[in-house]
Amino acid sequence: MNIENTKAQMRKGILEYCILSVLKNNDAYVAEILEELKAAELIVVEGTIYPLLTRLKNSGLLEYRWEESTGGPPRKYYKLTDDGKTFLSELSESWKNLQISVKTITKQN
Amino acid sequence: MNKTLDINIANQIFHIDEYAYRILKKYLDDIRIYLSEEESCDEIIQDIEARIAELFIERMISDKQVINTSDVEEVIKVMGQPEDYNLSEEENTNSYKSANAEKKLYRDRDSAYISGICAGMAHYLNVEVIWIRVIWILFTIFSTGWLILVYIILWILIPEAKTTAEKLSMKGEPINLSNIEKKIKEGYDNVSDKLKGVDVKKHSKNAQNSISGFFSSLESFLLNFGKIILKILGFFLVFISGISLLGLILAALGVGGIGIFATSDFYNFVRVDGFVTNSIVPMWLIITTMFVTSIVPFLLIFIFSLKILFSNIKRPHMGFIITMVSIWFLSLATLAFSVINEETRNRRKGEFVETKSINIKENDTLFLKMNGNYNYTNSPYRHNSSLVIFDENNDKSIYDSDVDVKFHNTSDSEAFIRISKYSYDYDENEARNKSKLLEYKYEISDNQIILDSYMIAPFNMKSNSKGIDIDIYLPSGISISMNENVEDFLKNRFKNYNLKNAFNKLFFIQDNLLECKNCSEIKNSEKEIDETDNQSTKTNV
Repeated sequence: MNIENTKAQMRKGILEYCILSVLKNNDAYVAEILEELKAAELIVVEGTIYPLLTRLKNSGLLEYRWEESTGGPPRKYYKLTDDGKTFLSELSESWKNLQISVKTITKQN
Repeated sequence: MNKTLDINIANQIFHIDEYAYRILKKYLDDIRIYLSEEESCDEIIQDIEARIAELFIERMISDKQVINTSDVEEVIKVMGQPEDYNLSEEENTNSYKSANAEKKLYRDRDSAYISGICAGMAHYLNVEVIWIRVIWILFTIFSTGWLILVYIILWILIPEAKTTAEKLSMKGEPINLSNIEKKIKEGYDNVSDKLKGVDVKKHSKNAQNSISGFFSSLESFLLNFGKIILKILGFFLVFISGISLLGLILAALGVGGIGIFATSDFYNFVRVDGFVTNSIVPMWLIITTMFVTSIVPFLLIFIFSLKILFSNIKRPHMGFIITMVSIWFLSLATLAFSVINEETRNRRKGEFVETKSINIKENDTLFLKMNGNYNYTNSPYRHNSSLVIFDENNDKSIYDSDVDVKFHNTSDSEAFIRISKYSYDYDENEARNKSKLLEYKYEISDNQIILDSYMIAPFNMKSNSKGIDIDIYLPSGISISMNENVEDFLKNRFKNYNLKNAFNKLFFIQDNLLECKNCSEIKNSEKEIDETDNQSTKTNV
């Protein structure tokens, strides 16, 4: 068992949930999402997010639009789709349950 | 001072110094490899490039104009190493495809003595490199060195493993995050074994757990089976065509070397006479076209079967194939032309005949003797091929011993001899005119015939078929005695097949067969000699 691998596995599931959560109330482009995730110390390097975003988009949970930016390349603004919203609410539900379960077990030991 | 390049990332132009560019290029290439399993790999790369462009722009404030190495390194630090891009590697290894990476043949420079071919083959065949080297060395010695040629061809055709991805696929390891990690962390040696163990477990689990897993395994099994058959076929083709190629090259070096560097007379010694003309098509061209016509198909088969065997060998350029095929047709046409030309030169026979009577009495013995010419050759016997000879003025002529002698019965009372010089050419007239040019001497006295065992032909007749036919007609009651070399030129068959040597025996002619007159005595005397020989050896013992 590789500790890095396990950590990555744990982070991966949570990361999708967190990305969706960041986009819950307002649309954002990659740098903004990254800022929040970095502030919460969920990710260390930025590269991780790109395959995730594309995968979420491909499975219909996110959509994006192009917006011009001043003095830089145009930005992709991501937005939750209706599917994404349902997905997110289901995720938060199960996250709550998970938290309770994990707490119960770790307290016992 | 550094050279700078202009690059375009996400439609933004940046000046970047050369070294920084190389780092960035490698970084993006590596990411592409790690993400190659993703379905929208290109899109992800675009997003990443857009972000890199943004990060560069952030760093370009103030007077800074050129992106340097430290900028690129900073950006890579922010973006993360290629491994960090792929969190989903667990998911991927569950699918059969990525777990079962196809092994490819590369040259392994890292553990190379010369070019890394042996090391690469060792990875490919999964054996210790030392054995491959031993085999190569042994075979090179046994083959007296021609295997070096094969080595050089392989050197040219097999690419070197340069990138990490190529190095992994050289060893048959799937290119994914965990491999790279393990490779770095655990070092070189045992990675492959461990990985194989893990993969096998996963596969069997898969197959047990789900029907789809079973079918995917079955499918890949069949695919692999087909591949193996193809590889075996490829191996045989490579083997056969390789050997043929080498044989042809050696033959060309041998024969072709003589043909190109020696004078055009050489064919007399290698027995292609009658095929090579002294007229339109020159010798070297015929040899070259023979070589090209036979080698090109083998060369193409060799390259294509090598491609079957080792899938990553460079496919030959289309232009190369077309050139080869055209050269092949061209030389085939040249060859066909020279063969046809040759055939027409030997189409019609023409002869020039003399008859002489032989003044011999009944019950007499005819002595037949055949002379060689010791100026030209050391033996008066028949030579299998013609020789080029030189006279005092260094002019060339042809020495040919195609002289045939045959005895016949005749009801005439008088014996006679018929001497026919003949040759072949386009038409009969030309052939007859040429026959007259054949120089042939003979001498007939009372009961003795002395014939030359050769003719001298002008040099320009070297490619024409030619010869001398001697027919001797004898009334019954005349015996024949021949000297030792006559048998070589004699066309009659003997009645007694056990006859060892016609020399010193008396014959008469009956129904075109030579029958021995005094052989019983000779046989007896031979027997006696044999017996005395045996006795003497016995006493010695």
